[in-house]
Parts: sequence; structure tokens; C-alpha cells
Amino acid sequence: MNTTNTLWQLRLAQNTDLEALGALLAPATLEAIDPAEHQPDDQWLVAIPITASASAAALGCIRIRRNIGLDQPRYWYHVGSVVHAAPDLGLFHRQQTLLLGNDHTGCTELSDIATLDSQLDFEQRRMLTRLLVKAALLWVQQDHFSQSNESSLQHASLAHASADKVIVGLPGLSDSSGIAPFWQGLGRHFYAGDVRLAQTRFGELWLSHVAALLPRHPLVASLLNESAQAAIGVVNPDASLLHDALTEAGLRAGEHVNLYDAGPVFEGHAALLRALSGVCTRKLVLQAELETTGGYLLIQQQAASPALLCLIPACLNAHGELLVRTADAQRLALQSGDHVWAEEFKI
Amino acid sequence: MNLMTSAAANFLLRPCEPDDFPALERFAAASPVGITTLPNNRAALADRLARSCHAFATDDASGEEIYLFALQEIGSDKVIGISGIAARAGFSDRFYSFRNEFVVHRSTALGVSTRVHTLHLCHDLTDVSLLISFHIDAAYANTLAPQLLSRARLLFIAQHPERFADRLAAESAGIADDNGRCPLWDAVGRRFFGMDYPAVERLTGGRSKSFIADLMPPSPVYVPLLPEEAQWAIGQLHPVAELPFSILLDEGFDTDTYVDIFDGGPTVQERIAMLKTVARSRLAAVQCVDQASTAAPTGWLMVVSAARAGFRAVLTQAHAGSQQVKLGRAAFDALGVAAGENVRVAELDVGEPSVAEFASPGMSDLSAISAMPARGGASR
Repeated sequence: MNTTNTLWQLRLAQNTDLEALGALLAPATLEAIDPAEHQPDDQWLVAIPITASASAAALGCIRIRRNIGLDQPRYWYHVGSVVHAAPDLGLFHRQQTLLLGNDHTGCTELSDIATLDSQLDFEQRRMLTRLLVKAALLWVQQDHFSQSNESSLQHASLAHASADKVIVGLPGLSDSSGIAPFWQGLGRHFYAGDVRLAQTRFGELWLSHVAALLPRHPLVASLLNESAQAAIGVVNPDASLLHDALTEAGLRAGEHVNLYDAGPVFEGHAALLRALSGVCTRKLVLQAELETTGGYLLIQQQAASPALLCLIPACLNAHGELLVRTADAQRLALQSGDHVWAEEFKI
Repeated sequence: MNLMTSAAANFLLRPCEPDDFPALERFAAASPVGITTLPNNRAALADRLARSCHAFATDDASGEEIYLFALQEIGSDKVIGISGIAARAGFSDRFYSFRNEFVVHRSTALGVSTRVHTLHLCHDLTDVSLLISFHIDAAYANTLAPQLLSRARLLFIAQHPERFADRLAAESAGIADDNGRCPLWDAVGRRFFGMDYPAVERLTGGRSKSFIADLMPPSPVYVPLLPEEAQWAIGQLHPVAELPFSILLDEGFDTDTYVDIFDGGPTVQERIAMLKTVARSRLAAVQCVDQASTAAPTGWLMVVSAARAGFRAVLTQAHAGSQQVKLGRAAFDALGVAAGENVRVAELDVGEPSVAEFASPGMSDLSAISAMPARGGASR
């Protein structure tokens, strides 16, 4: 597949995508998907290459969940600091602390970011991971924009501050058998049960259930063994593509980590991400031929349902209008003169 | 308790005097780091002794008094033991302890309940009275001397309750090696100081332990997260503390609630009125009789004079009625009382169980320790 000239459409998952999603996701995760049921707070975007064949399957997916933790509590460790100082003795010790909490409740979470690795080479996976992250953020920003227009005063409230935040949990360190040194140093002392069994039985909810067994008071990290301490906030090397994609999109590691493997939670505010992305409204101009190696991520500005989100070869003309090939536009049902939100996407 | 009782009652406990300084110095120097509240520093020790002398003498008690007692054989000037009382633990400062707490976590979904041992840094024992500085010459460890040295303090408190709190505590040395290395300190305190406990004591230059504790984390320590060696050390006794601890245990002190924040040694505490010797004690008019004419003694009796500055305590085989006690000449003279004067008396059990039988809940097997050679006892 030539990623440079490929059109990509990103849309909400449908029943017809279940087979493709089955190749992308673990069975337990797949069970939670029901495309037939409209769940505005739990949506799946799939990325489909637009080729000559109309029946191309999804090669990547990303889950967008809004208002997380409001139906089932979600937990993270907040990584903080405490300073023990006695200046006259020359003692000054800064200690890392872990505090169990529900701090990201109400946020928007991107998760289950997957690509079909069997059909993609490394560069394609990297491009698709970036595309999925960018597309999901654009989706969230459009949502954020429409809501923020409703009431600027309401938008300034603290509750909305949470809703405006986007988080992504990155996998932390684990050994070849999937056992996390952080869990070995902390969690297992409070839950001696079979983690895999719990994961299989409860899916991601197992962490919410196990949180009830974990310490509620602040933990000084230096009381953990060295392997567990060393794992706090460290990204699993296998997740380097996702890490790079999130960093490029403007998300950064915050102050929270996962309960099991202490993988960091990356976060960013929707408004800030939008400013960083440089997304703005462009008018489409179609032309038969277009010499460009660049691409733009588009989302229809008007409330089309379902909204069209795509990656298309494009470039700007001197008037700031977006030039696209007529043939590409026709495949995506774009019209000359349409106004779209567009963000440059380096392929 | 296999005590050498036949000739062992010839002891006298009295307030420390300025001339006892060499003896204090000897006991302080013989104690490992962290074992004693006696400072191993001449100036500080002299100050401690001066404070004690003042405490016994003054009519104006403020709560900061420290009372030091010296034990000697009657007819000998040699001091064979030291013990003391601090009127208020942490006076003008806070007295830190770890409080043992158990929290039960439950996850209904997982169907799991776990009972988790935690240590909470607390000031619960601030302002209670504190038994301190118990030291006995090793040669007298298996006699009745330690009994008098430890328990007569309780009768002093019972006789002068206005000078003490209604609750009494005592720290016992925990597990440490000869260099003062403590597993619990290494697992907790060292994380915040980056040095071993003796080094911290040197660095702080004799400042109060609360100064050190102020630098420790206020949040609970979850015991399961500690190395096994440190977990095991919680509530354990240093071998030198076995003897004084066994006496406190017999008195009825609660041994399970608090431990020392540095070495994890048990800190016992109880309401003073509930202690065995105090509960048994009563005032009785003293009479002196010739030993030969006394009725067959029924057991050992602790007898203390009612005076404060002239406090004296002896252990004798005698019978005390509810209002009267008849003492032999030696004990009577040692007390320095007049006939008909009230003294405080309390019976002492000598058939008490040995240390090895005193392993308290949560404490490990002490049988190995009890098999060690006889040694002197010390507590903080």
C-alpha cells in the first residue's frame, strides 16, 4: 500500500466492521462493542483505506470515551512529591508519592488504539497510528467546539475543565510473560489472586475492582522495591509508535499512572490541542491534477451525520484555499466550495 | 522465673544522688546505640542527674521532671541498677509512636477481603508518664533485684499521683545488631535520611527523637510493602530488653498497640490504676519486729516509704495486713521510717512465668532468645 497517495476515511464503526475489529482487538474488548447501539459517550473510529475496491476493511481503530468514570469508578495513582527537609542539618529529601484516586473522572479518553500489523509495515503502522490519534483528537475538538459555543459561562466551570481534557493511558513495563514489576512490587501485596483470570473475567474493569483492595493513603514510592520504583511512569518500548504519535499531537505525560504497570497517562486540554494542531476552516477547491506529497486531515464542519473524517492528498493555494484532486473528492463525496475543518498531516 | 531468692532480698531502691554519677556513666556507656535514654555524654548525663535531684526535691512539679532511681545492696555503696520515670512523655514536644492498625479492604466484585497491617505515625502517647532507663548489672539479672528496680517505680507513682499522668508507657529496645543497625529503620527511616540510625543520632546531636520523626512521612506505612526482615522486626525485642519487658508484661501493660518508630520495639502502655502492683498496693502502718519473732512469712512484699525526696523501697519476706505491716529490722532501717508511719506495700509474685512464656501476640518465637546466657537487662 502506498501511504503517500492513499485516501483514508475514518468513521464510526458499524456492524460490518466487527470482523475487521476482531482482528484488531482482544476478544474481551470486542464483546464491549455494539455498533448498533448509539452511545455518544463511547464511540469507535475505524480507519479504512479508500481504494478501487469498495469493500476494503478497517486497518486500524481507536476508541473515544467521554465522561469516563461516571458509571463505573476509574482509578489511577497520582504521582506527587513530598519534601522532608531539615536545612540546619543539610537534609533535604524529595520523595515521590503515589495516591490512589479518580482524578480523571469526567475526562475524554482515547484507548484501544490498534493497527492491523500483519498487513502493514513499520512506516505504515507509524503513519496509521498518527492518523488515528490526530483524527480522534479532531473528532473530539469538533465536539468540544460545538459544546463550547453553547454557553461560554458554563464552559468555564470546573466540570467542563475535566470534560475538556483528553487522556491516553500508555502501557508500562512488563516482562515477557506480561507480569508488571510495578504490580509485583505493590499491587500483589494487596490482591494475591490471579491477575490474568481477573482480566479475562472483568476486562478493563478488573482495575476498578482491584482498586478497592489497594492502599487509600499516600504511599511513599521509596518504600517499594527498586524494580517497582523504576517502572513508575515508564512507557513500554513496544508502545513507542503510540508514544511518538501522542507527543506529536501535543499530549504529554501528566501526573498519573496505571494501577497495574504504572504506565503514564498522557493528557492534553482540547482547546490547547486545537491551538497546537493549527486546524482551521478551509474552502475546498477541486482540480483535475494536483502535484503534492502533502496531505490534510479533513472533517466536515457542518453537522453531517455521520460526519466525514478523512485524510486526503491536498495543498493550499495562495488564497489559503485547499486544493484537492477532483477524483479524490468524488470518492469522498466532497464538493467544490465545501467548507471543512482541515489540519495539515505530514505523511 | 528461676530466681535466686534465698539471699536476694537485700536490696534498696532510692533516688539517685550526685554521687551516683559514675554509676550512671557506667550504665550509659555499656548500652548500645538506641537502647537507652541515658545520654552517653558527660554533660548531658550530669544535666539529667541534676534534673532528677531537683525533681525529687521540688514541691513545684511542672511535668517536665525526670526521676532516676538507684538500686544497691543494703550495706554496700555499689549501685547495681538504675531506673527512672519521665513525668510526661514528650514534654514540650511530641512523643511519636507507630500505632498498629489493621484495615480490611474488600472488593465485592472480586470476592476478596484482605486484612492489611499498617503503621500509623501518631502522638497518642504524648503527655503520658514514661518508664525509662532500666539497667541492671548482669550479675543480678536472675535475682529479685530487677523486680524491685522496675516495680517500685510504680509504687512511687501510686504514692505521688499528682506528679504523673493517669497512663503509663514504656519503650523497649527492638531488633538491632551490635552496630545499631535496625531492619525497620533501614526499611523506613533510611529512605528519608539516607543514613543508618546511629549516624542520624550523631547528626542530630542529641536532639529529641521527635525532631527526627518530624522528617518522616505522616502517612501510614503499609507493612506488606516492607522487606520481610523489617516486617519481622515489628514488635520484636532486643535481647537486652527481655527482662524488663517480661516484668512490664506481668504488670498487665498492653503490648500490642504501639511500636517504636525507629527499631520497631514494642512500646507498652496502660492505665496506671490497672497495673498489678499499683492495684495491689495499699498504705499500712509499719512496725519493726525482730525477725525471729515474726510469724512465718507468706511471700515477698515490696515496701516503699511515703516520702518523696527520702523515697526508699525494699523487698522483704513479710506479711502485710490491710492496715499494718511488720518488718524485720534490716528492712525497717533501710526504709528510714518511724514506727507507726504509713508505708505503701504490694505483694510480689515470685512464681511468675519466664520470659520465654511471654511471647505476646504478633511476636515471634522468643525461645531462642531465652536460651541465651543470662545477661543484664536494659530498656529505654
